[in-house]
Amino acid sequence: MTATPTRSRPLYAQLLDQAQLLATLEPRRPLQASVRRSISASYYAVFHFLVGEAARLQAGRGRGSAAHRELLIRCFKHGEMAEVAKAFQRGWSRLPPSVQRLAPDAALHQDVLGMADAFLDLQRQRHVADYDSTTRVLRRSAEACAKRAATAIANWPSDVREPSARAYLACLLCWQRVAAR
Amino acid sequence: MVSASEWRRFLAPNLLELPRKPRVVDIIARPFIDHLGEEELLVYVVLDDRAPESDLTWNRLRPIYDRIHARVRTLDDPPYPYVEFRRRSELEE
Repeated sequence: MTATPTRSRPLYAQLLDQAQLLATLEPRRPLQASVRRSISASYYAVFHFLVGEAARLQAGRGRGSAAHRELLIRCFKHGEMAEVAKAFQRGWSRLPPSVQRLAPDAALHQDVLGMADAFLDLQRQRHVADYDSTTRVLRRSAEACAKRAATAIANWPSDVREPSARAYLACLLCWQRVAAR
Repeated sequence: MVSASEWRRFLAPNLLELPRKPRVVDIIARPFIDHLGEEELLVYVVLDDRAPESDLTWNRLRPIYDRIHARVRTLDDPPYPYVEFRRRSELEE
């Protein structure tokens, strides 16, 4: 991981770098502003990674579909993505039948579960960091969030055909309508 | 609804086969309303004040986190456990 964000790297990778940088910016007494922004960067790294992957699943990966992907990326909702994470971490067999039909007889990939847990935890940590000024945020928490975000992204199934990962990404944009049926 | 005291018994450290380090002195769990407005579980893993920072990295804490999640998932339709790690002195601040 580079110490300084570079423009050529994807946004999520730049945010991971920034999270790590901010968590350790003040060697002795970390500023609350630094550790809080670090946690926020960790969360948004995962957020942008997931919406990017979900948009590529829907619209394709080529340059010709870039505008389509950019349109889709504007449509994701943080709360809806958290509901997907909660639903998936309850187990594959508890998902709506319409989701299970995406991959009959599939099992929840361990790293998809890991991503769901990381997303929920990071979202809550980001909520505290950005909105709860009564809590003292620890440097240790910021470093852990940066590590969790990096691990969840690195471990996301690289095979685009992995069934539970594809189902997870597919649900991110339409969960509220799927879950209501 | 499961009470805080019942959760405390269910997540007692001696039931979780935790790693020896960092030393867990207590686990405090209580139902709470999360940032999404839903009732879930907030779990504080209380660590020995003498644990060095090098023992408190995510890689070292992850086995404890995983054991708590695995234990909670043995229940039917459990809440989601948000797990936080604090030294005892940090909880008392």
